[in-house]
Amino acid sequence: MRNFLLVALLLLPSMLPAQNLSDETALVEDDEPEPVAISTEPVRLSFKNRPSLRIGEFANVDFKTKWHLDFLGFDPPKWDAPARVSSLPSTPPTFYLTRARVGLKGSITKYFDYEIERDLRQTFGSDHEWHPWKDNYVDFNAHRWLQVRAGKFKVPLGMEANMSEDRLDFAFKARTTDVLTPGRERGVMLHAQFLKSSRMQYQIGVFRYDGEGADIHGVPTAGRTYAARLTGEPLRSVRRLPRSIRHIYLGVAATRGRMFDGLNGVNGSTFSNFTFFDHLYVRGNRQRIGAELSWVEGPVTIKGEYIHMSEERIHQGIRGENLPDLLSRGWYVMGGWNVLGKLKSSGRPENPLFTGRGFGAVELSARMDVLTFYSGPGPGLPSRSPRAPTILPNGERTWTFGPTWYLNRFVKIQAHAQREWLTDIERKAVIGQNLFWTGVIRLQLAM
Amino acid sequence: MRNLAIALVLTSLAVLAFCSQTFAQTQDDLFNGDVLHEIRLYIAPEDYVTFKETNFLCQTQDLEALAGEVISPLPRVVCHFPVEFYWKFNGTYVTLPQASIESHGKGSRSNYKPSFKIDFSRYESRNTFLGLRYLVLRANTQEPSAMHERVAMEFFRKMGIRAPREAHARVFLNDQYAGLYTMVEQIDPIFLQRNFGEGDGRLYGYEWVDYWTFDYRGPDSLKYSPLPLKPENNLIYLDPQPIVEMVRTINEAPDAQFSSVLSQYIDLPSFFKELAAESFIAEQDGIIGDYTLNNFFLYRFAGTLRSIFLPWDKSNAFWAIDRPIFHNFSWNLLTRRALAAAPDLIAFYRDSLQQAADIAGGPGGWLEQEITKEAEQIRQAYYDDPLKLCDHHATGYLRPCTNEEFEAEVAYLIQFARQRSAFVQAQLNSGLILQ
Repeated sequence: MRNFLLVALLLLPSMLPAQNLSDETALVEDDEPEPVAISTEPVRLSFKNRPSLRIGEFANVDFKTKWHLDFLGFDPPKWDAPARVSSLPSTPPTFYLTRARVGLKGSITKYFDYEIERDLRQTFGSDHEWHPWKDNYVDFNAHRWLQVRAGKFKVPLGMEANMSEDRLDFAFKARTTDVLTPGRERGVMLHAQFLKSSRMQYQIGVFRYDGEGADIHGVPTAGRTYAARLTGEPLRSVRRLPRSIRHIYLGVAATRGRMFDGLNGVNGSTFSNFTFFDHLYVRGNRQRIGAELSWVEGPVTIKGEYIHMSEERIHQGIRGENLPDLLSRGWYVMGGWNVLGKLKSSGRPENPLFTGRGFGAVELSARMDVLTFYSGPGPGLPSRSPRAPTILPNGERTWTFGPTWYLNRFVKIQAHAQREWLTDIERKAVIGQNLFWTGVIRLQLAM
Repeated sequence: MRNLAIALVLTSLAVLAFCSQTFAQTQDDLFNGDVLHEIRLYIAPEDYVTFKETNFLCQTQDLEALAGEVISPLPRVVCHFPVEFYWKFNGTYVTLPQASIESHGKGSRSNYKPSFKIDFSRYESRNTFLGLRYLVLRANTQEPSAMHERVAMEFFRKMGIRAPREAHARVFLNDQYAGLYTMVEQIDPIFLQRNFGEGDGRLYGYEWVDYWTFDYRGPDSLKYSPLPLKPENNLIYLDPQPIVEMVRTINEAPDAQFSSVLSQYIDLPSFFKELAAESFIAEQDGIIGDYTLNNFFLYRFAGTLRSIFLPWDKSNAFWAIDRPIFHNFSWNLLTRRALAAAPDLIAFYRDSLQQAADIAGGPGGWLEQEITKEAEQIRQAYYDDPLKLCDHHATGYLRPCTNEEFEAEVAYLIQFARQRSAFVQAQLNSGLILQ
């Protein structure tokens, strides 16, 4: 029954374009609701780009779904299965259902937007999901400079972390994003666009915990957390600059929250879940500072991000002494080149396969990602102990590269390889191994 | 100028003398049985609270995880804790400031007086303490003399069996006396290197999960490893197939070729020597114990199919003076088939028992001397131990132990040492086999 349901859900998006071939050129942004067609019918069901129900001008409901079907290969051919406690690494599966999300998104009157999303991987027996509910929030549009979002959504820190999963440049998120960004959390956030000429946006929020990304086996590691982010294209108004420079997107963000006492420091692990930097004992505040940049010119894309995180270790020495903060630093730079076909700014091909007259678009991309854990100077020799005054640094350098084939607005195929190299050979995740390769061929179905 | 030179020479000599005193310690010094050692551990008090909270959960979690990929019922159980380790040698403390401890033991596991496994290399994989990566501090919670383990292992080594070295120590935790412990050398690649000149083969620790007597459980290697034979030194490439073949051979080798075929997989002389040693000391919970297979390590030599059995945990030794020498032989598949089809192996076993009887001696023999020496050495430390536990007849219930019980058990051990050789000799002479 599960398999039948899985197949039925997977076939759904591929059937939809067949009904709307002529409408393919009228693409809309993914995050925007379907345009309300002028209609005299009070209730209208449409299947333009996705199933959509409209109740006059009062409300609309769009059905959303995202599927990531991954064919994986690991070297060494072992992994620690996610969300499981295991003494021994196991042989990873060749096929892995990484995302199986369904949801609803829409608006009620002009004042409220909402989204509900759930991951169904566990339903299909693929994996244990600590947090199956994803974005679930309501946005109240109080003023054009003030919107209030309440519910569960992404904490505003990290460019890649705050991007929709179906718009990611790589099948693998940067390790910096995976490890140092907070992810989703329940909270309240004020946000809006301002200075529309510069497309500036602010986000200020308070959250119940520090985000699911910082959880350990589903349990939060820090309490109430405050976050703020400012993004946009501030150079747009500087007319003296070349046009290509004026479109640079920049952003800064920060979070601060009080950690729960204990073995709750950030940890580093490879994509195959082998730990190379274990949790440390922490007490005090966790603070993140992030900066982001994106530049798109013609077929070329360059993006980069930097995140610095500090975690206090008050009274965490073996004899109760204060220890220097645990510091974590990550950054990445990526470049993409649209070698075949053309991509729109929305990330969709101009000439889609099946639904248009082309073959879609192909982009080659590569990313370098560096993640480092260390501490301020303390007494004694650097050590890997979770109560070490001076932490012996460890880090990971990751290269990710490969092509992405955008077939049409619904389907994307990515063939990416990832090379992870650990700097501290003595704290290697697997005996005799500090180099890890992962390959993935991902079929993405999304609407 | 001349005075300066003399001063420099004298200073250098003094430094050298100090260094030789401080850094000349060896593993033999640590396991010197002529000394009652002193160990000091420092642990964050909140860690020790967590240690006790997770003590039994860690054991359960490990077994569940080995049995399969079990989703943890708990968010995460912390089982390793950082400690500062100090060993007193010739009045000076030798230290390793960043070691780790975890709880140790199965039936002996206790929150009242826990056993510890100290991992010197957990945070620095190249770190060792006098060349050791691990040191077990046994709380000896199952028997009232606190000597079964050490006396048994001394006896094994006297027999020429590769067994862990041991010595007693007073252990202090955050400067509070935590009781009398036995320091036990861990069976690990360093032990293997010292004993066999190699450590790159496959080492498995036996985890008791159910009654098993080497009966063949089919070709599925998961029926044999990671449980009950838990990989100890290579967690990525487990290579359990030779174990399957070893067990299949134990079960299916033709009678006429039993010894020759099985010797491809097991060092049979050393196996039967170990059985003889276990039998002599009346081990109730070993390879042919009353709970079927238990308490051993299996090491498969690098690049071969051949394995050797190594003894572990002898709390239940000295079970009864009159424990028959072929006790449980008909229960265990390997020994049963040896009885039926391999007279050469049984003859070797009998010879080894004779050797054991000779080494132990009768009244005033080596075994009695060893027991008397150890009892004298640890008596005061045992009396001072505020947390001593025992479970005299393996009931599974650990309870506080008294000094009177200690003295009674020492007296029993001396009686065992005086009478066991004669009993074994009588059994060997009687020609009696199955019991």
